[in-house]
Amino acid sequence: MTHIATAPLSRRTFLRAAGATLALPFLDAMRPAFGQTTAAAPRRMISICTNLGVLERHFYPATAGHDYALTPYLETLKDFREHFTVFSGTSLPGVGGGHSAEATFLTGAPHPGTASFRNSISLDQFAAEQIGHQTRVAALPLVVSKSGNQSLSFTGSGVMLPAERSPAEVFKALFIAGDAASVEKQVENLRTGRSILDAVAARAATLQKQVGAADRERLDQYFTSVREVERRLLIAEEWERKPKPKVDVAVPKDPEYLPEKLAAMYDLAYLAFTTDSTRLITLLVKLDGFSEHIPGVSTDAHNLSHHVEREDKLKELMNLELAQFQKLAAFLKRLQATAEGDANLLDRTQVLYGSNLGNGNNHDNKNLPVILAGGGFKHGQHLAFDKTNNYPLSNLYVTMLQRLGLETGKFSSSTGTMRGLEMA
Amino acid sequence: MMKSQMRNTFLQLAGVALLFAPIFQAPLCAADKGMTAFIQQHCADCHDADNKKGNLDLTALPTDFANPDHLAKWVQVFDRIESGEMPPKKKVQPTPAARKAFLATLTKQLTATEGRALTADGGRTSVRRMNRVEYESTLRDLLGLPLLRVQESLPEDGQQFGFDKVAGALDISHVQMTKYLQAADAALRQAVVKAVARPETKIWREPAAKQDTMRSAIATHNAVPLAGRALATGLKTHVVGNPASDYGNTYRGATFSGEADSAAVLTGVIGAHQPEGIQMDHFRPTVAGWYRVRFSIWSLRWERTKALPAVRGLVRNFTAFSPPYFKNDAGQWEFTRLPEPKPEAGRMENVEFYGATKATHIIRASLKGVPLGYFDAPSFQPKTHEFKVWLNPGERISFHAMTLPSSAAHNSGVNDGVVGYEGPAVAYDWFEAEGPLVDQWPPESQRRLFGATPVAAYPRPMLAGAPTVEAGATAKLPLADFKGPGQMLGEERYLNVNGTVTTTVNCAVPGEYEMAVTAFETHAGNEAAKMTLMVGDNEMPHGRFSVDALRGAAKTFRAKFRVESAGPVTVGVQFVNDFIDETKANPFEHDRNIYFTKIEVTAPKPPPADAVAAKPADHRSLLLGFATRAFRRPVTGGELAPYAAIVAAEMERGTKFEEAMLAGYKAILCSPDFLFIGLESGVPPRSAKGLARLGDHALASRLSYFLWNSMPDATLLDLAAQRTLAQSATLKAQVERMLADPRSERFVEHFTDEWLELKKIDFTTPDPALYPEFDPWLHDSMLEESRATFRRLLTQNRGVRELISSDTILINQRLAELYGIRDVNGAELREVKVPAGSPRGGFLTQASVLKVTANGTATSPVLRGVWVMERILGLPRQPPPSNIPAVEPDATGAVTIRQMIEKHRADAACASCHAKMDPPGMALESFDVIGGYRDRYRLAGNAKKGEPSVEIFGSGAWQNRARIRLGSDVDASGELADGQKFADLNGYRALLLKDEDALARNVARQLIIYATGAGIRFSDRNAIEAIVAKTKASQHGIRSLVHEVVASELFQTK
Repeated sequence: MTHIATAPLSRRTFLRAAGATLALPFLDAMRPAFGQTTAAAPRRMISICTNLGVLERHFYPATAGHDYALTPYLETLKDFREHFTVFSGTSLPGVGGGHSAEATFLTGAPHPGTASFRNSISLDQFAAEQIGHQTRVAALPLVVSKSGNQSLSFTGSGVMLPAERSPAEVFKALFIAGDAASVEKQVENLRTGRSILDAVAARAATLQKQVGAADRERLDQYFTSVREVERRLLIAEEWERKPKPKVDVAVPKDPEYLPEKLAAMYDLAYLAFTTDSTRLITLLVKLDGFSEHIPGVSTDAHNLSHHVEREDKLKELMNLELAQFQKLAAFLKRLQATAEGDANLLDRTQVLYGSNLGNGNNHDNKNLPVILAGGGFKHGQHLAFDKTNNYPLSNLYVTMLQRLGLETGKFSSSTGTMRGLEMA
Repeated sequence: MMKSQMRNTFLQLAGVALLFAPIFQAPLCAADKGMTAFIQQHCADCHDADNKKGNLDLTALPTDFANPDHLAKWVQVFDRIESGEMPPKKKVQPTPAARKAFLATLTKQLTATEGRALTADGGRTSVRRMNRVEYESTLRDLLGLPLLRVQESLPEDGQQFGFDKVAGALDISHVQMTKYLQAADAALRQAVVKAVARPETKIWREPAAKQDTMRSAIATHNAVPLAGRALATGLKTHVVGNPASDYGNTYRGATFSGEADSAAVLTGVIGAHQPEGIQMDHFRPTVAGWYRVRFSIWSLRWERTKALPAVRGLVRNFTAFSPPYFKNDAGQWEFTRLPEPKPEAGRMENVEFYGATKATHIIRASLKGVPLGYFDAPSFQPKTHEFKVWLNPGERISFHAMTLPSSAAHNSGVNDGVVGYEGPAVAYDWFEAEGPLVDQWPPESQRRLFGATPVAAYPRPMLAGAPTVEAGATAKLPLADFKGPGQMLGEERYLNVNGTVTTTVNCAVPGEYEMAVTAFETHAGNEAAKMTLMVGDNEMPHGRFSVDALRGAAKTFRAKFRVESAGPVTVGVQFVNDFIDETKANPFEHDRNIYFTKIEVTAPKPPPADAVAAKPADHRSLLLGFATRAFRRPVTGGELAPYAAIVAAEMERGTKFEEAMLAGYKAILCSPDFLFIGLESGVPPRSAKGLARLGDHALASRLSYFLWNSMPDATLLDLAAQRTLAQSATLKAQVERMLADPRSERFVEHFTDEWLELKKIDFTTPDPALYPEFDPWLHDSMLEESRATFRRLLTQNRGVRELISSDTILINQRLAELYGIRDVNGAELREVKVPAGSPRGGFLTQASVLKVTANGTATSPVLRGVWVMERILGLPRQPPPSNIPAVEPDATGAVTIRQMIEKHRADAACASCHAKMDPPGMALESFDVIGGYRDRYRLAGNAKKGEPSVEIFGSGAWQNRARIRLGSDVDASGELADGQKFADLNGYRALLLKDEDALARNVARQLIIYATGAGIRFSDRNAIEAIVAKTKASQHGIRSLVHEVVASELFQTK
């Protein structure tokens, strides 16, 4: 077992460093290694969306409840059988539009892809608004893709937050510390940055009052972003003075192909969680264009997802999806093997894995394949809902938010909490 | 559907209207009854709640046009009925009058709705932020940094209506904003010079054979040293390892100790260990700047120990217009015959080089993998090439031969290596580099920010309360003002622990100052107290002293320091060797301390009056100049205030002038006035009619972001200031001027990137197993062809039909090989007449277009068809209904794409759209994923015995030959939705050319979206038609279209 940190830190040290405005990050190092904990341990969440669906025949168990037989995909996760729940018959109400629904997997905003569509806040950002200040990075949107920064994360006004696609860059930002002088310089820069933002925000506010509806919407976005950066710079200033966590890992290389990219992102997520650099991560796995380095796959992933029931394609597709499940299993394993207080990291980390497509072959957005692992629930079952009249997946999101400790009864299109899923 | 049911639906709708009165426009009036009747009579049979054909229930489609989804649906209904597509031919047709009346009513409704939205928004467009392409080129022009790269540091932009210029898709998040802060900072820092003095321009020149990379190529038998046209003396080849005992690990190396005139490279890739190719590696730039690079190259054929004239050819020996394979008399597929291999044993023959014309090999120069250019190496005629490039310190340029095989002389232990080799080669004579080329100092970028005065010369604000030392005078610094350890003791300041005491003095002029410190020590231990005089955080030169003076005999210690600009300077004294001698009881012998009795600073004499440079601008005037350019309009003092306040605050905190200014500039670059296009003329007045004319400065920006992707230049801004820009003659002249300006290349590049989707060129990589001939040179040539073609359409104002078909094409040697056209030698594109029978000409048959519409292994007629519809015909695609499997090509060849598509189209739900999408794609089936002509498909996997296959030769530098399995014959015939048939691409092309107006309409629409950043609304259609009509006389020449777009109301109003 790996312990996150060994040398206990005094809480007072932290208090002094953090300043009164900030709540404390609860690192294991702050607690006596084998004593009773004085405060609740942090709860975390990572939401992963693989964008071309998951072959239903290899995924869903035939029967509901606890005693289901493992399917080929779930077989890869068999070591964690008691630590995940598989859901069937759920989807996001009103969400259609095939691939457009990538943007709404974590927001649940209805009717993506139509002329009037407007996105809404994503699950991680909703949580970040309340618990984001507790960590160096409020929430970390990641993407594995051939190109681009598409993301699962959206602000309250429905603007996409571009995801990071370079593990090396994120690693450097989280773990590579500057010397004292460069830290001071950085703080100075942040202050200058704030005064700059003050000036431009004032200008935008003046403009907003004068313009018509469409222009105002554009300038509102600008104004909101400026204010948000200001707020973040203020927090960043506090964090900048705090030592960055030391990790015993070299700066990762930025790989080129799917399996290596996935592994790098999961490694990064693991490091970010164990160092309490963030508690909220999203990972969009944009498969389009990938085919390299995956055993038994030679065709482009998008092409495979439209398998038109052809046997050779189905076989390749299964290999492609198995490769992804194996990386997920390895990630869960690492989380489980890492102790935090009297539990392990998996117990405190909700791992949501699913897709915006219920059927990649025909662009269907119903019956989404979804797994929730870890996080401190009574797992080990297949929660099966009606395949024709789907149950709202957004209810699961409410449950997840509550598990994070947020007092909320509603998220997006939810009608309640996830029926049948209880906290451990 | 029953009449009563119908009424019911409308009643329900009316109910909704009452509830949501403000958003629900115009409950059904008299005219709507006519519409209702029409729909019921002609549409409701299929499009009602029961049948819902095409997923459309017209009886339930709400008429609240304000909802964009519903509006879009009704526009679609309009189009289908207007074009006569609906009601279907086999159904009862409405009378022309009824059709007209229905359309007129609908037009009125749609136009009215859009008109209301227009009034609310002040126009059809809205302000929008720059996309990252515009951001980069704007910063380049604003800062005078022609090669600035910041694009990659910004997130990818969203897209709407096919362009990344549309307001609705250009969102701003806090991530985006943070990146703007960072990008502005990075760009500004690049604009400021670090070098103090003007760097010297030097010329470096050396023989190519002397370069380390060339020597290494010679050592690995990838190159040979030449004296004249023969092997230079002094080349020794030797076997490394013992072939008898360790066969696998022996190889032949070479050493060269003689003199060489040049060196001939035999391979495209110089081995796995030398991916950088040949470099001019003895030249290492130490200063960033522009360099002029020259080099001399020629081609030859290497024959063991001597050079012969090169023979032409790459790899492919083609039959006209098709790949290098043909059906023989027996009807079997065969590759064009190659000569018999020569009998000599142990020799590796590369396939090469046939044809009658003079041979030209091609060299690519690149910097960090980015191509700088392709250059010809004519046979036996050394050719000197020259290019200008920006180099950062230490950067090295690589040279690769694009037309040589990837392996040449076999250098195993049992082989002769280069001296036994025969094959193609390129000789390099010498390399030369001249630079940095400095045409002015400080450079332009520095001047844009700080004028011609060196930054250091700018005065800084004096610190209130601090003593000032005037020119030529001496000021006594009050000892009590010194901060730091120790304290005042009577009239003396003493320093009893290690540390620095500091104070600030205002220096009135720049120049050399002297600080005089009068001090003594209390002695303890075996050395005197040591002190260092400091300026800022630095020691003064010769500023370390031993204070070997005791009370009553204080000495004065002097050191000099330089002040670059007038303003406050912090000076101080550091005590470094505090000491307490515990053995001594006497307090005067016990503790080593320093006492200061007087500290003075003397300023230099004022410079003679005539030597004083013109007073440099102050921070306000610098900011004003910068903001005026950055905001693309005049800026008032009041507007400048917040930025000036940032600079002032920074300087008050003691920040250097340069840094303080950069903070102010950064704020300007993050302000909405810089980032948003459309604010240049202030907030446009709302007009009752909806369409408000753009102000002069907003018009200047719209024009410059259209044709230059960047800010307006001084000429445009002057015209805007004189309020003459909007005059039609002025606009016309300006468009001409702008298109002639090199900046218009950005329009050509970006517009084709977006419109033709060329930016997708790297989305997929052709499978090397199927397309071994694809190489980086072809990749770059493809893009060049399309851009040059569009550029030609623009400059020569060629008619819109040339999008589809043209008599001449712009190609180089590599494209000529791909297109099966003979006698084109060299890397430069040139105009070539399309040979009779060749399908080339126009964008549809360009390799770039054919590549971006395919993936790496196979082509899909559906995707290509959609591309033609959207890009060439301007018909938006309807999203596929859910629950319908897509059609994907099958690289194994088990099912033909035509079979798949036909199966797909058997489904009525698919048929209506696919009947329009598929035919153009089918016509393009004659072209493979890299744009080569084909009459059979290439298939994955190894050919079994007896199966048709073809041998393809990889483009020399990158791949070797491969045998590829062939599949079924290509059938490029098809039938349009209206029943017109075509046999192949030429047939389809003829059908397309029947309606030039449609082609022009599309170009006009694309240009308007691109130029104004908003989609085309229903009510904009008349304006588009007007553009089409006005360009008819020029056969819708592309430049005429640009002119008419600029002249149109859509362009000149908000």
